Amino acid sequence: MIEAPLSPNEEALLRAAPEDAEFEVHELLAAAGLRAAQAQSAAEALAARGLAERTERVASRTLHITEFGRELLRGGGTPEERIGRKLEGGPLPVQEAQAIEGLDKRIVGSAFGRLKKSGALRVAGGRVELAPESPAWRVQRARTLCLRLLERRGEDGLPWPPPGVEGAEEPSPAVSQFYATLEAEAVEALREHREEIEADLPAKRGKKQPSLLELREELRRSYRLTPAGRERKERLGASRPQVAQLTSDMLKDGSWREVEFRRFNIAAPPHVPVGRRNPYRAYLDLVKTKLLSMGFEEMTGSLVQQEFWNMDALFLPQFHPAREIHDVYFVEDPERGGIASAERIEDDALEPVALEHEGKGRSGSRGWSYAFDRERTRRLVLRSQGTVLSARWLRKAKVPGKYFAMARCFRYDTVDATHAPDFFQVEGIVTSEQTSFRHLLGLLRVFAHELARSEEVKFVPGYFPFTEPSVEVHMKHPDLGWVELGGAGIFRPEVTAPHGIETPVIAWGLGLDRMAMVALGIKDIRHLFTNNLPHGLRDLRGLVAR
Amino acid sequence: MPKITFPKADLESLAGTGPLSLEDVDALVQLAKGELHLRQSTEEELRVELQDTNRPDTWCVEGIARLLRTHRSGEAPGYSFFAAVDAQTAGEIVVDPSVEGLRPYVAGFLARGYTVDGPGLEAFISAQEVLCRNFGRKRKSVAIGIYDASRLRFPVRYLAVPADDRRYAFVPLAPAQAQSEEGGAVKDAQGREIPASRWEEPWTPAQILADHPTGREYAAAVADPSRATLLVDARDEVLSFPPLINSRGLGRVTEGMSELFVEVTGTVLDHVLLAANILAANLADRGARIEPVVTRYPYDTPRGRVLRCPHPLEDKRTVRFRPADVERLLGIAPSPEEICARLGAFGVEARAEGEEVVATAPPYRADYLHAVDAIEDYAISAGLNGFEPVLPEAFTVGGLAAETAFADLVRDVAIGCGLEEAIGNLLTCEESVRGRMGLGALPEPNALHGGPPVRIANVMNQNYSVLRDWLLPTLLEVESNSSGALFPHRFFEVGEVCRWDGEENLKSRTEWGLVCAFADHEVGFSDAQAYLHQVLRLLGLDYVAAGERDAALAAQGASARIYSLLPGGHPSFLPGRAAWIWVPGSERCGLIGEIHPEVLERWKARAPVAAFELRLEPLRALLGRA
Repeated sequence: MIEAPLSPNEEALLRAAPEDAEFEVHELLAAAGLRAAQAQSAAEALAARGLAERTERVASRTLHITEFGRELLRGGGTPEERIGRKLEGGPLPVQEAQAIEGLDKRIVGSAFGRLKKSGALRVAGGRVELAPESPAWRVQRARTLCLRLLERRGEDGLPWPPPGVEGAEEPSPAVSQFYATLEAEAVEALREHREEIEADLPAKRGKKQPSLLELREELRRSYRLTPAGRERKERLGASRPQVAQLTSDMLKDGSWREVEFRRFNIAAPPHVPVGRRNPYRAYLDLVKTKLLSMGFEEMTGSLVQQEFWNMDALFLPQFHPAREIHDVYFVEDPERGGIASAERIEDDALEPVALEHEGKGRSGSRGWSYAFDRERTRRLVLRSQGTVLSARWLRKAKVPGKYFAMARCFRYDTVDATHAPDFFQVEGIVTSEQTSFRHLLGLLRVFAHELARSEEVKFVPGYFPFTEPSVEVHMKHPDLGWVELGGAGIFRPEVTAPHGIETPVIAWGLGLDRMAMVALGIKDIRHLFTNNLPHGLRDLRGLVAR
Repeated sequence: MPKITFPKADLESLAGTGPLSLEDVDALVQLAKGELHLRQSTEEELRVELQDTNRPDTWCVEGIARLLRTHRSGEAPGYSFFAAVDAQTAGEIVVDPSVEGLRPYVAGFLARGYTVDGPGLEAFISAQEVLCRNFGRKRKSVAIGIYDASRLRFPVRYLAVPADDRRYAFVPLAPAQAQSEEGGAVKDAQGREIPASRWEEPWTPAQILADHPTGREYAAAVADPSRATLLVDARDEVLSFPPLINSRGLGRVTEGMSELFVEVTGTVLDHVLLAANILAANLADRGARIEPVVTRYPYDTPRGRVLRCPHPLEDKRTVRFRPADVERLLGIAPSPEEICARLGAFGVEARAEGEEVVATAPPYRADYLHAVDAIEDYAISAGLNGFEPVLPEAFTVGGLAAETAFADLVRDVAIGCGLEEAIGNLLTCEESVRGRMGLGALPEPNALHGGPPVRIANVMNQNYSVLRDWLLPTLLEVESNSSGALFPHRFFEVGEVCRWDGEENLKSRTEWGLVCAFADHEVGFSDAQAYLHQVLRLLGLDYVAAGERDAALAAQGASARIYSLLPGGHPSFLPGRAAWIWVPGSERCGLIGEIHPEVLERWKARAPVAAFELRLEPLRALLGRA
């Protein structure tokens, strides 16, 4: 049979326990280095293993007055006392001697009977008289004295039996001192009439009569090692004490040399709250780092934009089907109702753009042949594409320059597993004196390689209202097969000319959500965002570069 | 973007390619900027999405087939009917002045010699639907009708009448439902079943608008419901009530007919003409002889009072460019001949003229706004994958925007403090940023959240009807969903908010903020305060007691890097357990405290939460000062 290992606390207690004597746990606390509760449960555990046996003994007894007793004293004394007091003035008729106010007649009657029987009262010719010198009355006096004393002692009670009586414990100094304050005669009376006084205890009085006194006993639990315990202790002696943890104190005093470190019990890993990045943010950070490493500078801007920058500046005609009320979120005017409008269009860009739409612009384009609405263009929308930022940046862009934005965008779509209420779009522009469509293709190939380690790309004609030529880039993703990485093109002259730009400007955008979802093992696009903490705790292995 | 479905055999026969695999189709439709939806396609039927919203001629099987055919043969198809200005006209449409303010334009042509077959009729109806919906804005700017030409008498008149004029009542086409054998019940506006006999009786235009299912569906396309625009023939027989419904008498086309009249009405003349041109080319591709019809207007149109259809739209089709423009845009230098040949194979007539290439798109296209449009056609025709990619050569220095760099720094600090990052959506509901936070509809504006939030005017879903203007609600929502996660919860977001601000040009300000929340079985102000202090200390700010601010400012100057807490109340926090975060230059840079149990109950959060929110802009301004 394999011997079950002892817990560190059990072991410590066993080491401290006397081999062949009873012990109480509180005696061993210092030796075992345990707290009372730890030692108590260790002792019980040893007992349960059969290494120790439990013994119980009475440690002390104290005599206490019961609530009934107190009630009697408050009412003027015990019935016996009050009968005696009535008769101190001389004999009385039996009837009169028993008439005691506030006490049940039956209780008085039985007290009278007891006094009479014990010889403390004498009855002759219908009259009764007290026998003050009778032993029975002396007992009564001792009893009364005892009750008064007990009332004063309150919860402390009287150590019982009184000192000097056979069987009584050696009184503590406090008890001795207490008894010393009593008159010698009283102590003597208590000693002498101990048994009669105890007659008031419930055990003696029976059930019919309420008790005036009670005896409380304090039990003390002690243990003694069994032969098996002694044997185990002996074997322990051969090994060094075991400890669970190295402490700085052990290092300080070198006591680590004398102990043995308990083997670690490997269980499920414990929880520790950690600080960490959100996985989707971490993915976007990775993309951001890539773009920075390729020399891209960041563009930022307002979530709320005029229709102008969101669409008109990108040469989307105002009558375009994709500009209906159900294609983009408009901002409400909280004061006047309806759609809110910006005060103005920045950078004096309104007129040159309007002219492009009308076919009278700098680019020489035929335009869209309609009257551009210069009021409507100020209406406010939630930006629906990151290209807004590119349009706003055209004027400040350096040549050569590379720019990107990770813009939160809003589409008028039903929110479901493939549509989040808002999402990130990664896109930007590239300017240089020699930028051409071939540079655009080169850039897209680098993106595919850098962002998805994809070597294989193909280019497919695309359509965006603001670029010409336009292209979609598809790449062979290691996990997904052929997927669309993004769209790009050269800004139409109608987009760049209003800002005085004559060199071709590359505009590009990447669709990263699907790749992020694959990298992070997410099936529902809404879970890219944090809905609860367990979701947020997805692991980051998808971000490890391959 | 339009999606169309057609039989693969129809494509093969129109394009003259012989049998095509789905893979072939996938590659070939790219010429039309089309994407084959493989999952919804079979060997019999193809589902293709067309991307180019500016090329409605590609939104039909005929248009796609035409591109394939041209690309293979290298020659643009000749459609002589576009050019034949002097050709005999087959008929006339006479426009009445009454339509001018309602739906002013109409164009039509005849197609003879093609006997309508199943695929052709199906393709025509598909093209008609897609053009009316996507290009014609649900029939508002363009609507199309087709008729049995053998039974109608020219001249056709186009006029407007009172909608309830009984003289112009006619039997309309019944909806497909009523025509089917099963005869599913068709209901009127009041939900009453329309009896089968009703489809045999004449309806006034007003009745069509009110009760005919098609009339009700497209009622928004009718400019004035009290006036009906009608096409009637020489005998006053009604052809149709555009843009809603044809008459059953003349306007019902079935297989076997071989004389067709096609008309297009609308509000934008060139769109009307373009749609007619596309349909004419399509029918010609199926073997029809196209005969022009002339429209006579009593008022001026952008193209005069007498217009022939099909119309050459000659002023919209030609662009000129130099080969150098091609080189600049595409990075290659093809010869003019090469450019012209490639354009020809894309259906574009191109010729070299001195230093220039003159490229003319066919009349069923109106997308040549600028030379770049022709240059792209050249590139597609040459094949995009034939271009050798090159890397941009210019050296540029990358970098983050200042606010993003600062936001990232703050994120690092928060993560270093042991907090887990969350990101929430910006679009939320008003209840989340106001009601549940214990704020009324118009709380007193303060530094953290404005009066009204930025609200959506055209709400689709009430759950996404405002932009968040503070961050704390986002984290409380996360906490309310996280009772299953082991405590303690210590998390944060550095994110954008958008606050209404009537003073701003954009009526709003987009800003970055930091919010940190702490939830546990027991958690309090000092937990949040300890983290706030660590975050600000790591950013370089020292704490000073509120009473010592003036002394510190006097000693260190107005941009002293210090912060303080000023006890204050906020309805989202327990009274006496909230404070405003002060930094020099921003009295209320943020808020810290214990969330009010009423707020937690409304969010159904099960553990107490202490939190703080900070605006990053004032912090960055302070730290950025010299």
